[in-house]
Amino acid sequence: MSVLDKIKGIEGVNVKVQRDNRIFVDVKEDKLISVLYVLKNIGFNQLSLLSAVDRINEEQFEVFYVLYSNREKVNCIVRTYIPRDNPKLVTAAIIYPPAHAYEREIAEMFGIKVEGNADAGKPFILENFKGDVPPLRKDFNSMKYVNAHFQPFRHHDEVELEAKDE
Amino acid sequence: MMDKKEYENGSLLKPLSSVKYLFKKPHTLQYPKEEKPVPERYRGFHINDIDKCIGCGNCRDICPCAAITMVDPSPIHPVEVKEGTNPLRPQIDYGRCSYCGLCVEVCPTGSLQLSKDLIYTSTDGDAFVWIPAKEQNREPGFTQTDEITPLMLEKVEMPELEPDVRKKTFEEIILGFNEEQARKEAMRCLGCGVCMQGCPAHMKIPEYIQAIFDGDNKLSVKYMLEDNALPGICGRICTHNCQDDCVYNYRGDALQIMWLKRFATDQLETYKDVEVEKMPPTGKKVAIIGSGPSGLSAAYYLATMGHSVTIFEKRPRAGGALGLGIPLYRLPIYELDKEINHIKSMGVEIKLNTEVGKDVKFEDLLKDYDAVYLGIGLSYGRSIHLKGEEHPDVIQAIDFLRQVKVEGRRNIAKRVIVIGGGNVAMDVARTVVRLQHISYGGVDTMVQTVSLEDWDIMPASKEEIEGALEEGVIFNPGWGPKQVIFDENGKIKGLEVVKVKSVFDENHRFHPTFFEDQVKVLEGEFIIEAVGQMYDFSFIPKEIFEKLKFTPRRRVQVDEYGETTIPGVFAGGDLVPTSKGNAISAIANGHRAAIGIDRYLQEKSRREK
Amino acid sequence: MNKSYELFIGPNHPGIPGNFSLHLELEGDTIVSAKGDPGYLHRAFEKLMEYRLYIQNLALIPRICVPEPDINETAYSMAVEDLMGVEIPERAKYIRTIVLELARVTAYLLWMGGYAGSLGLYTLGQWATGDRDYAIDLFSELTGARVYHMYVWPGGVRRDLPQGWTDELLSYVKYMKDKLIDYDNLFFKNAMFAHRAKGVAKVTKEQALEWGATGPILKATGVAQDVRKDDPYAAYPYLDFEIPTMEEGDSWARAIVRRFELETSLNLIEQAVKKMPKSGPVWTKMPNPFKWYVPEGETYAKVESTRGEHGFYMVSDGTGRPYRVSVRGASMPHMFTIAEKLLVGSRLADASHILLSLDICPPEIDR
Repeated sequence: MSVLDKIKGIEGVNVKVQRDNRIFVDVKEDKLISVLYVLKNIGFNQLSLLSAVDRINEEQFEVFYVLYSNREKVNCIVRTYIPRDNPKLVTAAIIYPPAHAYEREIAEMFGIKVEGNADAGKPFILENFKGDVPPLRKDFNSMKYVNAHFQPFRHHDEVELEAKDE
Repeated sequence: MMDKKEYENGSLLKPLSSVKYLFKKPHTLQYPKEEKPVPERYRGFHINDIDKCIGCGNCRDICPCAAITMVDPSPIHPVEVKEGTNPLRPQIDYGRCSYCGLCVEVCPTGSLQLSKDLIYTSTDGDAFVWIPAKEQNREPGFTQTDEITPLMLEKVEMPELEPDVRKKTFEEIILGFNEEQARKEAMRCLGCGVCMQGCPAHMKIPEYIQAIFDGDNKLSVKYMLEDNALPGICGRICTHNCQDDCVYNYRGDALQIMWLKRFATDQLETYKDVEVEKMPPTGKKVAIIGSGPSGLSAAYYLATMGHSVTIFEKRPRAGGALGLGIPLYRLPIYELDKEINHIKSMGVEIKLNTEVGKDVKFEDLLKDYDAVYLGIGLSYGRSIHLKGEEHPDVIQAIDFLRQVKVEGRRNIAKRVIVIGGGNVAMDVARTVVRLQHISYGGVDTMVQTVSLEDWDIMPASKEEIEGALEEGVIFNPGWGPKQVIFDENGKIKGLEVVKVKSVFDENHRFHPTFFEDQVKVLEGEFIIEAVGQMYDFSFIPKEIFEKLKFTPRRRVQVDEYGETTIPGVFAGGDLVPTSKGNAISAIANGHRAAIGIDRYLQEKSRREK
Repeated sequence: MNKSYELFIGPNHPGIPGNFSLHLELEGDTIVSAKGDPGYLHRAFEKLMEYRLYIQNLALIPRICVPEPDINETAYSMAVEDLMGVEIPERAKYIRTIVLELARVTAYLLWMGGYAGSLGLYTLGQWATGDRDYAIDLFSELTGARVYHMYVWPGGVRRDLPQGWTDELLSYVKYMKDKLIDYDNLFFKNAMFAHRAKGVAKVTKEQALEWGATGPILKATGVAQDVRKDDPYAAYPYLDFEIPTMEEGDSWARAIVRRFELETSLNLIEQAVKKMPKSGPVWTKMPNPFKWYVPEGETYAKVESTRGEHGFYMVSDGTGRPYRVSVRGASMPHMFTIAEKLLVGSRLADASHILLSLDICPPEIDR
């Protein structure tokens, strides 16, 4: 039984094969932890990456877990969707210890609450960050933030245009 | 492969072998006594050949670090601004530059390079911003190549009818892009907008090409209609000065802007779904004389401004020089109808078969309408006073073309001589080729052109000349017509021509001189004169006409907004000095005059209040 | 009386590989707890990439990793190529391989210098820096830049090899192979090194897998996991090489694995030069950079860096700019799941030695 068949056999998942060794698995948030457990049991023993995508038009965050099976040499990317207002997630650090640090990161960069991770929400990479919107969200505008909190940056052309307007 | 054993325990003596390095030559280079050769591809400070640079600003747009700004370079290197270039040149902030060289890769002229120089010190932060120029004497390093370049230098070939097929029919020669070809061609556009300067109407070319690339033809046509009331026609017959200014001319093939325009308009059966802004009615009335491109353009924009517009056209068809003069194989009738229907749908009324001066009096128009626009164009052929030209088999090009296109003339002589070297002469010659093929199957037929200008200065466009040559037209460049030769029955036998010495005098004014002893006779039974057209103002009563002023070159004198010396009377099209004798400049000055008329009417109603 | 005290190492400290801070709690000179504090190098790469055209990111991505920038260019290019369904020319694959392996050599040399320095042997640092500079000279001849090459780009590479470059490259490889004997004598076979490094910061195979270790840390526990073999890219499928492994899992084993990796890299360069097609295109034509739209979709592209698996997760929404790029650097789990655990119970004098044996690269954490 191939690993793909095994993944397809898991209850409540939607499988898409992008290419030979990249399998995308979409799963509902409430099934996430149990699916991760199953995947770890069928050989996906490493967590390579955990992060999120701000799907602002669909008003949700897409959280993805890049898993790797060093026996099958296959990457399985588990994706789940959580609402953008009041985004919450259950920690996966019990299953995959590296998730702990990644969860701290998404908590800070996307403002996602991670239940069961005591450090998520504590200052991590950002220091003295004064913005209202977490920086990796799509509605965070870097230039606006820079101009509000640092010496404003303007392209030379804009400066000239403004001078003309005056 | 690996033998771990040797590493397992280690040795205390082995490290001592390194003592030998005490006696070796050190790696360190004794700078500045010794210098390291700098590699060929080194990416250091920029070099810019300011004279070669055209200021297109692609380097600024591609710069990932926003290090490039476009500034006036005159403090370090004065520039001579040529047509189709911008006066600004890149200035680089070396506090931001990442030396990636993308600016060099996308430079269309190849003026920008990186140098082998990367040493500069100053305690002043602002000193790291400068305009690169030849004056800094840097040695070139990283340069662009044509083999690996992010630019798409090669154009998408336009499918067209083969010469053997097309010379037998009046079907359109150009078949038009399909979706895929159009997207691919649109993808080539860099969006720099240098082309916009060359277009008399200053159309929003980068925007409409972007819309075509995005697959939104409606949006594309909307952009076109903002500056050009007849985009579909321009997509077929425009002289496309924009393409001559395209930055790809410096490297690769110019973008085929005109064909892209044609593609977008062809995708829409009508323009009724295109969102056009229309102002509420103002109650003002404008009369437009002539339904050529300038008249239609003025009418369209006046209608969008809320004025009620009436066009007076003496012929049974609207379109003027476009509708009547341009052969079917370049501009089919249905395309003309599509554009005119769109203009009509904006509320413009067109009165056909209504000649001003005969059916309706010019002075009445002045009375009944708030403003009058003269868009009569140059609708009469100009004679060159050739000896024997009063013969019925010597005909004017404009009459001939109209007869063929609108009146369905198909009879033609077997051997035809066309006098002229402009685009109209090409239209005539190529029309004759088709007629001869229809009438005689092309057996024993001949069409030859004769023009004062030699190949190098022939006014017709390159495409037209090539097209005519492919279809078998014979050229006699550098010969001037002298007289028509008749046989004993009074029929035309040929045209006597004389060799041209020079066309222009030392002041570049038209003043042909000839080698009187070098004479030859071109054989033919039918002669078509295509040497230029004239206007006819006989419909304007004398006392009004006297008020109309003309320029030294016999064009109607108008102000910036097309107003003539008679208040309330505007002029455009080929009548005014801004005309370049093509459709797009007529469309542009028609639009300009519409703005002028609108201003005039607003001023008038303010005064009335 | 409170016996323990806090000690902050970094963000600027000779024993820290980059700008990074470590909060230690000590009793005497024994570490009782360690917490990493990142953020000193945060330059918002992932956010900035969303604002730039696909080609403009070329200037940005190499800066994620200073010692070995080419892995970023390659992984980024592979992600874009994957989304666009583009196959790169054969010769470009070999050139990429050569560039990546040469970069691996420079990165290992830099690591070697720092690692020996952390043990008090500064001679090796001088040698390694000098030898790394010869490789950088080769890079500047090939790419025009010393450190941030911006040479590998989507579709292949930016320029073909310069005339005579492979000869220079091969003579460098030969020089390095000879020099390795001296490196061995001075350092890797040095009894004092074995004495200091053996048994320090030991990781078992099970722990390494559980904690998400990749690269030399995992290889030093006996797991031959390497992206070059497991998910081959560039010209690696055509080349013959073995993944060096050790069983011990301690600092010493990791160092020896890296030493053999260095030798493998040199062999790979020789092979690639020999097998490379002698001529041919090195770039597949890409769209005009201003209208470079990448089809909608998402992909994960990964390469093997000197520290482990280095990947780019890229999401495209069908426009000219990436919708989201997430960078996976090997150092993230190495720092937060491994170093924080391994430091506990060790002596303060070993702290920088342990960090360097894990080869933690702070920019990969901060991104």
